[in-house]
Amino acid sequence: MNRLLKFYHELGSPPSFYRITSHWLKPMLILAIVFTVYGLIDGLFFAPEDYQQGDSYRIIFVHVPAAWMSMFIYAIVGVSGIMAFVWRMKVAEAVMMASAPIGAIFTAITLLTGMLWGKPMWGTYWDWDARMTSELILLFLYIGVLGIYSAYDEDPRKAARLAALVAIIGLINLPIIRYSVYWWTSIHQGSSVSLMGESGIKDWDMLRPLLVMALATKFYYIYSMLNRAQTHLLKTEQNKNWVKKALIEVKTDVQPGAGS
Amino acid sequence: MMELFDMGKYNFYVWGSVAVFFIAMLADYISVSRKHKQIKRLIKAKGKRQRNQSANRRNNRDTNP
Repeated sequence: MNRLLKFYHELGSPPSFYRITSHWLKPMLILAIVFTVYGLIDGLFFAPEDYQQGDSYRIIFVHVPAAWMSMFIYAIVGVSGIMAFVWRMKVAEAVMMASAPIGAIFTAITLLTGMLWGKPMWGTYWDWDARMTSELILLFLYIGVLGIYSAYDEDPRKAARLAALVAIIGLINLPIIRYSVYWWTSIHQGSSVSLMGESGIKDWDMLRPLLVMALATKFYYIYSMLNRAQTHLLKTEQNKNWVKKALIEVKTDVQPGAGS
Repeated sequence: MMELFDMGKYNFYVWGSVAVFFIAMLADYISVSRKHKQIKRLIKAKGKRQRNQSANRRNNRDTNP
């Protein structure tokens, strides 16, 4: 526990966050690519056909992982928003602002692939149904967080606090999305996977690629978020000594002997 | 081999979704790495400029006391 607490405090300081996460970027990207390739090949070619939906259900292997990520990332945006708002942590601001773009991308993927799935199954690309509408609101919330941050460019730290406020208020949307298919009559199907096992996919050959894709999108999120968070910290802290040390002095030390 | 890729009447929808996924991920990857390189280049250029300025100042001080 003590070591975990120390690690948490270490990650809270921009220089050590930058140093530690630099080692994580490449492994995360490689894991994401490997898992995506395996998951998609397994899902698109080897998973059995659905008895009701035929081959069209294979959209699930990109739609559901993206939908999970859209909500998971918003939860992270909200929680780091609370941390940024209450404790004024710079790294929390960086994580919040770095998560929002990739979350918005996953939300857009969810909506677009959902439309492509809806056309053959429901006969329409779009319906103002509770699930779809609440997911669309999620996209607007992401855009709101990003927009407020970039609109107030005199003071990035104040801008981050304003954006955090929007992010925190938006957290209310997450349970609405999650339970929308149960609270309202919806044309959207229920959960594909549930921990209690009362509904959803039972066939392991269908479930496996889905879970692999869920991991792949998580790894890609970690890569993209950490990379953006580093960029955010370098930009906002560019006059600090640690940035100069990390970027400039390492190179100049190497130069004299580099000609050998 | 080709029948593996054939999703029957759902070809457009399934491969369209996969394409949406890949295009979005690729766009994100490109934008992330471009912005990262950009800010690093900016900071390095600024550091170089500052070093040159202080070196010039030192040289001027040495030549005309």
